[in-house]
Amino acid sequence: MNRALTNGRPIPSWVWYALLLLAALALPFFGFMDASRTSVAVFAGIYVILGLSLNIIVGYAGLFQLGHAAFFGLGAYTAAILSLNAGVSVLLTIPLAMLVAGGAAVLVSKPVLHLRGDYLCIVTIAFGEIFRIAVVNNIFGITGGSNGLFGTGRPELLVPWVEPIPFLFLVVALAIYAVGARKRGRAVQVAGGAILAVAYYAPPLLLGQPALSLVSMVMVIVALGVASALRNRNADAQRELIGVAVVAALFAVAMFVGGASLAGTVETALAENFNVGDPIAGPLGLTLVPFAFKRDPRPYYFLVLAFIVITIVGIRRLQDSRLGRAWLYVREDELAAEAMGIHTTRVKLVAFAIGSAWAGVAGVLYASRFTVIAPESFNFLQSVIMFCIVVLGGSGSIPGVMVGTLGMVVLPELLRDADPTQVWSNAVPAVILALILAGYLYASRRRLSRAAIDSALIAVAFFLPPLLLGQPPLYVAGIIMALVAVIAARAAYARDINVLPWLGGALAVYVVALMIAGAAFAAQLESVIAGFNIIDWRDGLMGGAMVLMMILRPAGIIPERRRGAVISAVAATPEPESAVAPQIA
Amino acid sequence: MGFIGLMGMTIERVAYRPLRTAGRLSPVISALGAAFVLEALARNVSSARWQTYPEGLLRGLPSVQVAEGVALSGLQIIVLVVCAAVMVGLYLFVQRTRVGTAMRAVSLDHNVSRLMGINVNQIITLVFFIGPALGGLAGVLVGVYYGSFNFTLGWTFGLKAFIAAILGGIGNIPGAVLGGFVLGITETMATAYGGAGASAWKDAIAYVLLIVILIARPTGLLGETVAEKV
Repeated sequence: MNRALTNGRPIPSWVWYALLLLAALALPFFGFMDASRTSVAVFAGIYVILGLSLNIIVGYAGLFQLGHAAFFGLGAYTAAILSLNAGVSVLLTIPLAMLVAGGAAVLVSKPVLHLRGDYLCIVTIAFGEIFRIAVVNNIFGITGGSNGLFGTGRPELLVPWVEPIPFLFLVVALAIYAVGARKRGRAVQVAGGAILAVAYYAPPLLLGQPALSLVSMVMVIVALGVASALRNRNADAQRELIGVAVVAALFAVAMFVGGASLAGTVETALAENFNVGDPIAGPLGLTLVPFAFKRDPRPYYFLVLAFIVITIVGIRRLQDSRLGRAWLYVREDELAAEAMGIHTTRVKLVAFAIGSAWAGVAGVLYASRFTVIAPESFNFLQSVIMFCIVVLGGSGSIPGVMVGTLGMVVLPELLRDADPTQVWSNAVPAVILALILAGYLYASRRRLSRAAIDSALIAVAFFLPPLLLGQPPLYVAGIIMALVAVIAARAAYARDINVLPWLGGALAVYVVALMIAGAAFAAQLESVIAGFNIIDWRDGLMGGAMVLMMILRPAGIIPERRRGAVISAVAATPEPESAVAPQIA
Repeated sequence: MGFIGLMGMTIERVAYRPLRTAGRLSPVISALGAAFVLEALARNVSSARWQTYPEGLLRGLPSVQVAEGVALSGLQIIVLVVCAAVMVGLYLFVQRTRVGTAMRAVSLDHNVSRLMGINVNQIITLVFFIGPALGGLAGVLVGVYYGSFNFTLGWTFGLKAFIAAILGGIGNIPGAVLGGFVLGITETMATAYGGAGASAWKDAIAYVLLIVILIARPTGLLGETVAEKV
C-alpha cells in the first residue's frame, strides 16, 4: 500500500529518517514531556550516540568491545577537567576529547587486535576496569576520586544573531529555487524569487522584530516544497507561481496579524531556555550573541538531537566508503579480506579509533548535561548496557540502535516510577500476552495456522479465570502459563509431536485448577505483588528479556539490511529445526 | 554444588543451546542476561545486604606451624586440600576418561565429534553441570574463608576466573591453575610491597598483568598454538 505513492519503488530510507526527525523535533512540545521525561530523552539520546559509535566497532568491524564506557568516560573527564581547571567552554573541548578517547583506543587495541575474539573481549573489559580504578584512585590528582567532579560548565553557543544568518539562508533558498525552476525561463525565476524575498523580509523589517526571520525561514521551506510538488505533478509555470504566491501571502497575513505576539513568544522562549549574553564582536565583522544553557533539559534535547543527526549522516557516509566496505569484508571473512588486499589490522584499528573517539564526544555531552560525573557512571555495567543496545537492536543496524536504546535505557527509566499494584490490573497483561504470542507466531511462521489455533487457546485460558473470578492478580499466573505453554509447544513442534491435544488438555487443567483455587490463590498473589519491588527485580527482568530476545531474534530486533549476496552464516541464522540450507540474503 | 550444577544445565538449555548456531554476539548477550537474572534472584531470594557465613566447625580448627613465623590455619589447609583435590580430579577426568576425551573433541569441532559418535549436546550439558558446580564450590570456599558474602560478589570473581583461564591458556587445566597462581600471587605481592595505597590498585594490577601477558604470549602462558579455523 505504501508503495503506491512512489510508483512501486520502495520508499527510500531517508524518508523514514526525515519523518523520524520531524517526530523527534516535535516530541518535546507535547504535554506529557515534562522536565523529567525530557531529561530521560536527553539521557537516551546520549546512549543512542554511544550505541551508534559502538556499532562501528561491533556491528561493522565485527570486533568485541566490552569496555566502551571507559572511552565515554575519557571524553567526559576530559571535558570536565578542561572546563574546571582551564575554564574552556565545554563544547570546545570536543576535539580534544575525541583525540584523548581515540588515542587511548589506538594505544590499547593496537597490541591486542590480532587476538581472537574472546581474548580481545576480555582485554577490553580489563581496560575498562583499569580506567575505572584509575579514576576512583584520583590519578594525577585531577579526577576527584570516587566522588567525581562537580561543576562542569554548561554549553554555550555563539550565534551570529540575527544577521547575517537570515540573509545567507535567503541566498541559498533563492539559489535552490532558481535551479529547480530553470526550465521555466528567466521571467518565472525572477518573479518567484522576488515574491519569496519580499515575503521573507517584509514582516521582520516592517514590524521591527528581527527574530521573526526565523519564522520566515519556515515559510520559505514550505514554499519551496509546494513549488517542487507542483513541478512534479507537471503543473504549468503559472500554477507554480500562484502556489508560491499563495503561501507567501498567507504567511504575510498571518505575520501582520500575529507577528508581534509571536516575536514576543519566541523571545521569551529563548530567554526562558537560555541565558542570553551581551553581543560580542566576532571575526569578519559578525556580531556574536552567546546563548548559555541553563538547567532546563529542553535545549540539551535539541543539542543531542543535532549530534545524533550528525552521527547518523556521518555513519551512513562512512558505510558506503571504501573503509566501510572494508569493515564488512573483515567482519564476514577476515582471511578473504586480507587476500583481497585489505590491511585488516589497520582497518580494525581505525574502527576502534573512530568508534571510541565518538564515544568521547558522547562523554562531553554527558558531562555538560549533568555537570557532575562520577566513576560509577562509566563502569562495566554501562559497557554491558551499550553492548546490549547494539546487539539486541541488531548489530550493524542504525534503527536497531534506537530500538535497543528504547529497551535498555528508556524502559528501565520509565519502570522506575511504575506502581506494581497498578501494573497488573489494567491493560498491561494483555500487552504482555500479545508480545508473547506475537513472538510465538513469528518463531513458527511456517506453521502459522496451527500456531494461530494454539495462540487462541492460550489467550482464552489466559483471560478466562481472571475475568470470570474478577481477580486481576491471576494474570501473573497467566503470563507464566503462557510462557511455559509457548516454549513447550515450540519444543514439541520441533520433535514433530502433535501439540494440540496436549496443549488443550493442559490448558483445560490449568483453567479448572484456577477456577477452583483461584480466589484464595489470587489473595496470596496480591500480597506477593504488593511486596514486589520492581527496582529490585529490574535487572533480572532486563536479563530475562535479553535471553528471550536473543532466542527469538538472534540477529537483533531490526537486523541489518544486507546488501549484495552475503552468505548469512554469521548473523541471519536459520531456525534451529531447519538448520541446513544457508539463506542468501 | 549439585544444585548449582543443575542450574548451570538449565541455563545452558534455555539460554545457550538455541543460539549455538547464531554467531558470536548473541550468546554473549544471552549469557549476560542470564547473569542478570541470577543476580536478581540472589538479591531477592536472600537479601541485598552483606551476609555472614554460618560459623561452623571449620572456624575452630587448630592452626599448624609450617615454618618459623609461618602458620596455616586449619581453614586455610582445608581450602588448599580441597582445591588440590579438585584440580587433580578434573585433570584426570578430562585427560584420562572416555567422557573427558569426548569433551576435548567437542571443543575442537562439533561436527566431526558428531561423526565420531559423540552426543555433542549431552557432552555440553555435562560441561555445563561440572563448570557451574565447581564455581559453586569455589563460592562456598570464598564464603567459608572470608566469612561474609554479597550478591554482587560474582562479577569480580567471574572476571578474575576468566582472566586466570586466559592467562594460562584456554582449554588447559594446568594452565588455568598456573594462571590462578600467577594472578593471586602478583596481586598479593603488589599489595604487600607496593607501598601505601597499593591495595586500592589491586584489581588494576591484575588487568595490567593480563594485557601484558597477552601481548607477549597471545595464547596464554601454557597455551597450545591451535591452528585457527580457516
